[in-house]
Amino acid sequence: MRAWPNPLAPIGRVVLEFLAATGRVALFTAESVLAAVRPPYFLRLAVRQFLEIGYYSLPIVGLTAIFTGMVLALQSYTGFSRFAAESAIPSVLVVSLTRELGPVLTALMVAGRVSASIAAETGTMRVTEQLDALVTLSANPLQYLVAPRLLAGVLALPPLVLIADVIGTMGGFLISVGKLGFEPGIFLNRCLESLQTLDVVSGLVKAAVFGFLIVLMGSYHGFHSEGGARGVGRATTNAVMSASALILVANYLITEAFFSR
Amino acid sequence: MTGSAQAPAIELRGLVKRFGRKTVLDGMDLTAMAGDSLAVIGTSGTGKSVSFKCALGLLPLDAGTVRFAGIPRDELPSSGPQALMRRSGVLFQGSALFDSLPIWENVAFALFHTGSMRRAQAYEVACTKLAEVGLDERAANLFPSELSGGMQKRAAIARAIAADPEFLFFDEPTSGLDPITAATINRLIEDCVTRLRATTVTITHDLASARQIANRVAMLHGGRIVWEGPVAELDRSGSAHVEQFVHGRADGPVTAEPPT
Repeated sequence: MRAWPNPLAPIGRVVLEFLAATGRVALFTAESVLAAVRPPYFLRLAVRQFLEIGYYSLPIVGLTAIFTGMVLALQSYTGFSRFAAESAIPSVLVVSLTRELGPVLTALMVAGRVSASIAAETGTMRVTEQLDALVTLSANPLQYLVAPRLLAGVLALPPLVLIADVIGTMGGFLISVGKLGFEPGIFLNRCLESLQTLDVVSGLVKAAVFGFLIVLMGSYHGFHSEGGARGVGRATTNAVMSASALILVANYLITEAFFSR
Repeated sequence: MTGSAQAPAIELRGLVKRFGRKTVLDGMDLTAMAGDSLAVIGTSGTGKSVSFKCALGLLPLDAGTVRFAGIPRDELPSSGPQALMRRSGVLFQGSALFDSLPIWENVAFALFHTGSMRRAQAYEVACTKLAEVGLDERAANLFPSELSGGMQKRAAIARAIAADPEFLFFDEPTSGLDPITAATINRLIEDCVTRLRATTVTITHDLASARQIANRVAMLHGGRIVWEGPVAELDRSGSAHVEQFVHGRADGPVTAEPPT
């Protein structure tokens, strides 16, 4: 007699695979953090990675920030003018940018650039036996490859987000002053009056956490890639997807931690 | 860790390695005495490279023990595996040079990245080692992608011998090279082995390479060593497996795709 397939079996498989993947990521994270705090320290590599992650991300982050600020000013004006609340635009703009849009959009753009790059580079090293070669040369691949990048990611994202906040505000300023008729001095004053230390601090904490997640996901998927070029391609896609998803989840959790009453 | 003339330097006992349902190594035993140059031959896919990676701890074993100079690898003290790596030189099949580093830094990697040598001194040592394998200072400052396949192999050999190791492992040193370059690489390896007096294990399916580099040969088939003996006896081994391999015949006990 032919047995009917259990309809719950595929769900169970997915749950088990999810739990196993979570365990693997947790283990990789713990090993990477341990590797980062133990000598030897590859500071020269960390500096190089800081430039790679931070400095070379400036153009795309700046472009994203300025247009986000411009669109935010335009859209806020469209909505607020219905209630004669146009004067709130500077406050809304600067708070939205520093708390949410600056950190999240910066992180998503950097995730697309850096997570993909780390996963592709590490994945290629995996399939061409360069990771094995590191081990045979007495180097711990986590210490040599992951630790400097983690340090660089955590340190590079906060200044990048600060710059994005400023550029985004300038984008809003340009539209508000040039198109919507705001007085420049009044606009900037309102921005500064509305801004609280906690807005900036929460954005910077988010940035540091996002930097960690971006590097972690790129490294994890690169380290676990297999099957030649196709495997490296899959690792790259997975790195960007998982980093983006984790950024959004972490953003909610940090916002909850800072601002829930 | 230096062994006496007749002490086993590298011992593999009962190695078992499975990938899913496929058993690649099925109780493999192999011994290389101190100073031996042992070539492990076999058809593609028999697990030669897997055995080499298991011996070095790059792949976890399902069963079996690996001893270096009589000490089980897993029983080495915490710094032991790293210390063992410092005493070993490895040449990978695809050279495995680090793309992001110039050749000299590849060669001197273990000396100044994980060792205590200063950068300038490491550069000098790297240039000396590169000269030993026939590469000049111009090549030292190039990146791996700027070198030909043969030059990459030379650079990878220089990296393997950079720390004057006691154990040398070569995985398919001549694969993908033309016969003349392959012969040059073989001679280079032979010179290095003689000069360093290192215990050497070479994984190869190239008989010319095995004959030139090795003093002993072992044949791997079906996850086990089916014959082992001096290189001079390769042509009168009495083993049907070896005979088929030496004469390159399609028919015989060895199939192109090994049984799973």
